[in-house]
Amino acid sequence: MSESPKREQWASRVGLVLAMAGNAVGLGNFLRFPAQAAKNGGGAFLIPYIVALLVVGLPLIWVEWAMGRFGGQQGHHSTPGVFQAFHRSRIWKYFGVMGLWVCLIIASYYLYIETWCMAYAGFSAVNGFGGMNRGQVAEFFSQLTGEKEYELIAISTWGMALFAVCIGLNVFILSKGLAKGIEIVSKIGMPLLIVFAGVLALRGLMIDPATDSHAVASPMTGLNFVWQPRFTSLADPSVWLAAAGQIFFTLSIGMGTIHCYASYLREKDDIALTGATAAWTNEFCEVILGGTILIPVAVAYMGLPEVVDKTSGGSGFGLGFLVFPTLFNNWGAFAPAAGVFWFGLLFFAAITSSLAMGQPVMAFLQEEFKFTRERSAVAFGLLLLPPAIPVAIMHSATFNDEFDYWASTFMLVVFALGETILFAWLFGINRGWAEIMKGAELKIPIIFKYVIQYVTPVFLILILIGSVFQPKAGWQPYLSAPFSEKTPAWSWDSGSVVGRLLHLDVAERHAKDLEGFDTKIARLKLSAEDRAKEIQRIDAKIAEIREDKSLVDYERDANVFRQEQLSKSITEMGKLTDEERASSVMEAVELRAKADRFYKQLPAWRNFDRFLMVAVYVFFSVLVWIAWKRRTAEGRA
Amino acid sequence: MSATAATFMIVVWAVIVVNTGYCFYKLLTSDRQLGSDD
Repeated sequence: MSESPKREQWASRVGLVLAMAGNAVGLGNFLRFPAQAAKNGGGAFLIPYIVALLVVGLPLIWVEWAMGRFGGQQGHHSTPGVFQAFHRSRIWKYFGVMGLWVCLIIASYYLYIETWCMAYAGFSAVNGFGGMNRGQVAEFFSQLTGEKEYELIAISTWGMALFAVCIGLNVFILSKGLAKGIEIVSKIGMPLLIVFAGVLALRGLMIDPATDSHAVASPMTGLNFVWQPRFTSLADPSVWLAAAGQIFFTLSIGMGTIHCYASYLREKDDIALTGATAAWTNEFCEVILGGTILIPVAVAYMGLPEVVDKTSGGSGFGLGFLVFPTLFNNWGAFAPAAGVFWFGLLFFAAITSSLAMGQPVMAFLQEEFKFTRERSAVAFGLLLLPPAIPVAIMHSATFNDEFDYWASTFMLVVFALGETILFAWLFGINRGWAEIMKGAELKIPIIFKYVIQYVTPVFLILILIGSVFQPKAGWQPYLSAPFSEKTPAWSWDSGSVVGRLLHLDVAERHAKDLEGFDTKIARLKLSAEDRAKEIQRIDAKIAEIREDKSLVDYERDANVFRQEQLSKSITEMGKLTDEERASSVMEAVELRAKADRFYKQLPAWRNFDRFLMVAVYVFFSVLVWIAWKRRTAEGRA
Repeated sequence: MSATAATFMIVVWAVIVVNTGYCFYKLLTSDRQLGSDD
């Protein structure tokens, strides 16, 4: 152990704002937000989104900045120490461990996705995707990740080598410190990200079906889809939950990263204006830039029904990585540059966030165990390995999905609720408000004091209850007519916390996939006469969907699209020779058996993953325990 | 693009641009530096 490191600090306010905005602007701004908006009511999603920004987002941003700066004055740069500084009960430092745990767990898979962005940007630069179709891009992705359908082990040598390079790059930048590492990367990365996104958005909106032979619709149709208000969705509590969830992800609240960055400020440095600037910069990147690229470009080249189908899960990940490289090919000589811009902006969005996840862990090791900056950066890289290696060598349904759900969906809300109670109720809202307003260059309306004290915790409790106990049929029937005979019997949604704990999502996908194989096998075996009857049945269903007045236009089109795709595939089956049909049946039977085995083994791997997550939490808790023993012995506790 | 969608988009964009612009304006025209006392 070497001597105590010199106190670090930010070089400039703009650098700090860009680093904080870079922490917040991530992959979700460009891939998740547009898909969530499209799925949850288009323009009307923005109403709960802005409400959530005002009652949860901005208040928590100021709370976290204030907590960070206050903790920093007492020599704490990570949440165990920061939380302990706010209340004498020892439990808070162990609650604060969450701020180290969340960062390490999220970084372990986030860095892997960052690696893909790097690989895709590099491959685009040499026009590697030139002339590729979607199947070939999917093959590229499979080679990069080593992932194959229904195979638990997913090893790619060059994918892992690039992952190691990406971790090394992060460790190197972190080892340079705040001002010379994170701040410089943010000052370069954030403006480049905005320029790249601006160019892509403008080029995307210039697609004209009249002159571009590949375009099937106007990008304005996509923009309309994102922004057309469907006010009926406001009555659905799950839309409000989705909006609040998006605000959490996008602002990087409840992770401990903001506390850490703010802890390097001085007592009288402004946080009100600086925090608000970082938050609004993130909103600019998310709503204006993020909302104008993914869906409009995809709709222009694929048509609205297919895009609705592809974003129905609320994620634009598949579109962004598997489809976009082929769409850029429609832009001729500009295609390689477009690929570099798109994956480059995703890379910058990712790296500015992953660096923010490394800093709290480093700061903890520096302040409690007197590690040097370089040594703590290397230690962060080494600590990443136990969770990151399984992410890199296993199917994404195992470690990647599980880490993502528990660390970046559930724990963020738990963490935020805990810190709000600590700040507003235990530390006291009057002292807390004074802390926020100390040195403030922005006069925050006094109403936010009461929002922080009452509205934010209630909102967070509702989000938590909503996500833990989410019923399969959604909340609406139980809230609108709880005692009606028509109200469905209670069953857990597979995406709820309870459903997830019980592996209901795995069971649901297992049953759905096997049913899909059974249907496919039955269809392959159909006689010509039965096949014609099946196509007639699908045609009748399409007519029925077209008449269904309960569906919104885009939902109707997407359903029709799915049925048409089905009809097309049955027609194709009819063209097969007997030998080809037998071979296809055999292939489907084998894949069905493989899928069956995969889903039967998946819960065990997910349980192992949960064990690993608990072990990481215990590990950090033990470090905190040792650190405070030392503090007590040295009279610093 | 429908008039409702366009109006909605412009209103939300305006809220974001005005707030972002205002914050950056205040930040860039401020005399305060990090670590200063006043």
